[in-house]
This record gives sequence, C-alpha cells and structure tokens, in this order.
Amino acid sequence: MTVYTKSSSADLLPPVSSVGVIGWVRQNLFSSVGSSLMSLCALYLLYMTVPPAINWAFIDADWFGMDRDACTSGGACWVFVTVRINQFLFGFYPSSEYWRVVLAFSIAGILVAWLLVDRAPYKGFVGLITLVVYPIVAYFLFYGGLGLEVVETHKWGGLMLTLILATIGMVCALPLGIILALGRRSSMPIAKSFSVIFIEFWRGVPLITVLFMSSVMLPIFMPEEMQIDKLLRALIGIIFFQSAYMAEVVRGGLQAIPKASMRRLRPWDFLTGSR
Amino acid sequence: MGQTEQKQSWWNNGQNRALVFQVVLTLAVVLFFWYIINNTLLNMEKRGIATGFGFLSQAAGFGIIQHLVAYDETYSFGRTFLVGLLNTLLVAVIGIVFATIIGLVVGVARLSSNWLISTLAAVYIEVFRNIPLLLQIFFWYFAVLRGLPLPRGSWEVNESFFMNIRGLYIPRPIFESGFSWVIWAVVLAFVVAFVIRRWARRRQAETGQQFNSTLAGLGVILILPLTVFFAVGSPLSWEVPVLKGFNFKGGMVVIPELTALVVALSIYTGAFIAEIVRSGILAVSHGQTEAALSLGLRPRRVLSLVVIPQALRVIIPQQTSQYLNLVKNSSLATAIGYPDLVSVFAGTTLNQTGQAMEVIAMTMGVYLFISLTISALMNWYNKKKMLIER
Repeated sequence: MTVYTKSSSADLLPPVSSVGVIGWVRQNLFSSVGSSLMSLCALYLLYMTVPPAINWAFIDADWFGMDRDACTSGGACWVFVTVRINQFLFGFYPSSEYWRVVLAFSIAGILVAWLLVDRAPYKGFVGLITLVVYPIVAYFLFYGGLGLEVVETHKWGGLMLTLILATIGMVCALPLGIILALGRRSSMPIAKSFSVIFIEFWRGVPLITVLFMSSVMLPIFMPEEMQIDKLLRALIGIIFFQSAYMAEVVRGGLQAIPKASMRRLRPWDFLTGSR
Repeated sequence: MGQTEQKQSWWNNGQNRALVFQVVLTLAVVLFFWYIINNTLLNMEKRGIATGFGFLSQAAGFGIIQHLVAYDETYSFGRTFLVGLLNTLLVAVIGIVFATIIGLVVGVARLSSNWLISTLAAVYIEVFRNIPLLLQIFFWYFAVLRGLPLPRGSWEVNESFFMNIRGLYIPRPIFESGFSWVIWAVVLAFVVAFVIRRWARRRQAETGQQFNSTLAGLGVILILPLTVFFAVGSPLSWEVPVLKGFNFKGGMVVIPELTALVVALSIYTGAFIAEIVRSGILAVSHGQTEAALSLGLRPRRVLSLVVIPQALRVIIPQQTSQYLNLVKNSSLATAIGYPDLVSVFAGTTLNQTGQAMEVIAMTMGVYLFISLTISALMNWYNKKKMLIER
C-alpha cells in the first residue's frame, strides 16, 4: 500500500502555453481563428498609423523658433504654440494685467481645494466666501475697477474665457435646474406646465441657435437704454440652456428615490404646497 | 383621525398655498412676456424694422453651394429656408445611419474577448467622446480635407470615384424609362416578405413547425427586383465624372463641407452610441444567457430572442437623445460654411433682411419640431418594446 506524501513528487508547472506572456497572448489575442484574424488586422492597422503619427508629432517636429521659417523638418510645427502660448491662455487680455487672471484662478483653486479636503476646518465659512465674496473679488480682478485698469470683455479669450464661461454656467445652472426639476415633479398644474415648456424648449434647440438668439434678440427684448454686454448675453443663453439639461438630470435622480421614502419625507412641501 | 379636523389657518392649507403660488407665478410670467414684447415693438418701431413674414417672398439674391431642390439667386428668401432645411435633414439622416453602424460595431468590439480589439474600441470611445465636436469638425475640414490633392492629382477608385480638395466625385445614376417597374417590384417584394413572415409566425404558433422567414424574405427582396430589372432590359446607366480642364464634369459631387460634417458627426455620436450599446448588453444579466443556453437555444437564437430584446429596452431611450443631439449638433455646420438651416437662413438671410425675430423664431421652431417629432416616434417605439408590468 502506497501512502501519498506531499514530497513524493514535485508539483508540475502549468504548461508554458497557458501562463506568462505566451499564455496571455494566446488567451487574449489568438483564442480562435476569428479572434486571430481580427488581432492581425488590428496590429496591421496600428503599424500603418501609429509610427507615422509619432514621427510627425515628435521626431520630425520643430519645437523652438520665432515664426514659420523655423519649421524646416517637415513634421509638426509646434513653434506657433510656443510663440502664442499667451494668446491660447489669455486671448487679447493686456499682458501687463495677466497677474490678475492668475491671481483670480489661484484663489479659486485654493478655495475649491479647501472645500474638497475632507477634514479641513471652517468649511461652512469657506463655502460662504467661495459663493458670495469670491465672485465679487473675481469680477473686479477680471474686469477691473476699484483702481484696477478696466479690461473690456471683448479682449478676454483663450482658456481663461473657457474656464470663466464654464464655471459661471455650471454654478448658475445648477440651482435653476433644481428648481425646474422640482417644478416638473410638482402637483401644481401651472407650475408643472411652465417647467415642462421651459425644459423642452431649451432642450429642443441647438446651443448655437441659442447663442445666436441671445446675441441678436436680447438687445431687442430689452429697453434701449439697457445695453447688455456681449459676453453676458452669451452667458445668459448658456445658463438657460444648461439649466434645462441639469433639470432633467436632477429629475432622474429624484425619480430613483422609491415613492415610499418620498412620502415619509417631503422637505419641499412648503414649495409645492401639496399634502 | 381627529387631528385632521383641527382648525387650520387659511394660509396653512396646502391647496390655498398652491393656488396663491401659481397665481403669482402666472402673473410674473405674463408680466415678463408683456415687458419683452412691449420692448420689442418699441425697438422695432425705432429702428424702422417692419414685422411680419412678407420678406419671405422677396428675391434672395445670393447663391448656395449645395441645394437639393432647384435654387438660384432669383428664388425667394422662403426658398432659402427650404434649401437650408433640406441640407440639415440630409446631414442628420446620413449622420444617424453612420453613427448607428459605428456605434453598434464599436460597442460590440468593446465587449470583445480579444484584448487588442476591446482596447482599440475603448481608446476610440474615450478619444472622440472627450474632444469638443466643433474641434473635430475643424479637424476633418481644415486638416484632412483641405490637405487633399488638387483635381489633377485626385485619388481615384476604378476611374469612377474621385476624391480631391473640391470634393468627392461619384457617378450619377441615370434612370431610363421602365425603371419604375423595378421600384414597384421592390415594393411588392417587401409586401411579400412581410406576408411570409406573418404566415410563418402564425404557423409556428399553431403547429410548432418553424420556417426560416428571414432567409425567405431576404431572398424575395433580392431576387424579385433583380429579375424585373433584367427582364425590362437593365434601365439604369451611370454618368461617370470626367476631368475636363481644371475640374470634373458630370457625375455627382459631395462637397467637402458635407463630408467633414458627416464624418465628424458620425464618429462623435458613434462613440456615445457605442457606450450605450455596451451598457444595454451588459444590463442583461449573464444568468439570462445561461438559462437560454440550458433550454437548448443556439447562441444565435439566444442573442436574437433573449439578449437583444432586453438590451433594447435600456438602449432605446438613450439612443433617442443621441439622435436628437446629432440633429442639433448638425447646426455647427455654420462654422465650416456648410449651407445648413442655421448657416443659410439664420446666417445669410438674417443678415440680408434684418428680420431677426422672424428668422430666429422659424429656425428654432424647426429644430423644436424635429426634436419633438423624433422623441415622439422613439417614445412610441419604446412603449412597444417596454417591459409590460402587471
């Protein structure tokens, strides 16, 4: 009678074809005839596109210089990017005032970082400053006034303008969107229908026509003595447009709450007036 | 429930409160619109702009590079509206078809067990979803299509398709007399295929015998029109574009603006649709597939009877909003000068007539109408496919 002992024979290693690089390749690239064919096609496609692209973008590219003449090697011409980096970032903002933009964004960065850190103290206070005091400070930093040189909005541009539009758009569209979503779910027929019409209207038209409308029609809608800044017009269009989409997102979230827990707690009863 | 009998003050009654709130809201909205309309009328009067749609019948006096209906400078502003609208619809339809195909293929590829294929699909999705559409349109138009050779050095396929900086030149089909028979044959073939399908379903329900109605239907749809086509003597010929002087003559031309727009829109929307398709397929739990397999269904039937019908329920609502986005995004055509509704009507026509109110209202009305129609159609389809809960 033989007794099995663990040391009687060394454990066999798994076959070479199923572990390591070879095993991975077999399992993930050549598991069947079809899969192998697809892998080969994909590899060929990559071979045809990736090396020339890398060549063009990095190896044959020109990085430094002052103008087009510096681009001689036939690859990408990054010279323009390095020469015009300020325009990419600030548009036509006067270069002597760049520090104001940098300062405004730095303050915003610090405030937001403070709010994002879990255990930071005085969160409520900092939040209040971010929402109430900071916008005023940022307005004077970006636009000017109070002794700072005024920079008209048509000189703003580049990444700076993108960030400003996006931030203000998001911050203003969210509360409006929440109100609209609550309105759409409310049991008051008039409030509900106004919300539905507002949401469906803005969701049904392209952003570019909204911007057209706000730039062409807003001046007609307002009394003549009230001149609205062009940037502000675009901003109003963006906020309305975005709030309609935000409203649908919020509505989706509200719908995901089971009805039973809704009945138990309806903090917005004061708004909808329903029982 | 004695508590409800408790005396409430008028203001604490929810219904009264709702009434007051809604009256105030209505008043505010009415006042707001009254204010705007009043201002508008005053401003128009001061600027001497006549309101009304009379301008639509005046001669337009500008050319449009692509028109699907007869158009030249002598046609009216109303006609420019139609031309722009048709161009928008053209982009939207072609874009939706291509985006759906790309989305389906990439979405399935993303789930492939082949690592290379799924990674490539993932890279495609992440790259194209996260670059603004306007930039992508610029890329295809200015970087790719503007870099094509001049007509003399065109890329050609089979001496009938030519691609150059002026556009894509393709042969134009010329329908000769008798081609209407072929069209009727196509219609008839579809009717026959439909009848076969109904018959096969009823027979399977009654007797349990199966009949491959898909194959039979496809056969009828292919064979019947082809037979008629050759029977009436092949009434179709092609007008091939030929290089004459500096440009091609004859054939049809797809202008580069259209190509760039369609490519950008379908690649961008395709990336979103791919993720939607993936989410739909993943939403069907694997247990369903295993259960179907253990019942003895073949893998193909599992896909068509179990996985796809359930995946569609997840896919359809999201797909609808992607189609709507595509239609609305096609208005970015303005940026590269493709003559769509916004570019032609809300651009050139508005500038020439100054009728901002009317033009913008008509343009927005059209998009609103298209959007609401598509969502109504998709809602109807969604309702048909929805899980019937008891």
